[in-house]
Amino acid sequence: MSTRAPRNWAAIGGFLCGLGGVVAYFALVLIHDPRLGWLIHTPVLNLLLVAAGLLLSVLGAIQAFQGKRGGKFSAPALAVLTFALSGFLGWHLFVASYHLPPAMRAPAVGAVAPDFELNDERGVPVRLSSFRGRNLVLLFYRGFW
Amino acid sequence: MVVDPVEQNAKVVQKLHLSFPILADTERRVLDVYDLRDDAGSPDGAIARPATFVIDREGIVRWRNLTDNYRLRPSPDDVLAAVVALGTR
Repeated sequence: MSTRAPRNWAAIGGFLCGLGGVVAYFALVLIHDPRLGWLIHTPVLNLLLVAAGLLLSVLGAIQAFQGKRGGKFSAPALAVLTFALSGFLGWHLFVASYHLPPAMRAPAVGAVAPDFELNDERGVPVRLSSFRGRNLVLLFYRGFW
Repeated sequence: MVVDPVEQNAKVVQKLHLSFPILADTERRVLDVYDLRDDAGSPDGAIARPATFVIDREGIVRWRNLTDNYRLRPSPDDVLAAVVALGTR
């Protein structure tokens, strides 16, 4: 038998990068510091970390297959784990987080639209009920934050 | 209707040559009444979830769209069809 192959740092590092990126994202969400809001909305650092993790873990698996590095079984396993972790983060960021909870108390079809008064773009108060007698489209949009 | 301040809305109306008013709900009062708060919507706090109501002459909601995915909005054609359905009398 040949001597033991050198430790597969790429596989280990890749997994740790991926895990770190995912755990750090949810830590950010839990901390919920307003100053870090932009990092939750555009988690570039986490995505970079996860991308590095994916790259490294693939590299680690290839090196293990080639026999240059150890971990013939553990390196691919770590790579699969890293992919699963990043897949979960990706699903959360790009699918689940677009989802809005049901608006149970929103005015239903057939109900009277609750009246209100707000300033228009000239600062002039406008009352919803002042549109009685006319059909009306009332649209809520997210704005330019 | 938007949570942005009046000054911002003035810019939008001017830039897009809008013929309808934009109302400023900076205190999120109407958002609460209409249950349309998206608390995690922006880095700076609650904004509106996209929502469209077609309201008839008596002030009754005749059509609405509260998307459950903020990337999916009703098409202008759907809104227009709902308005046309109210008739022009």
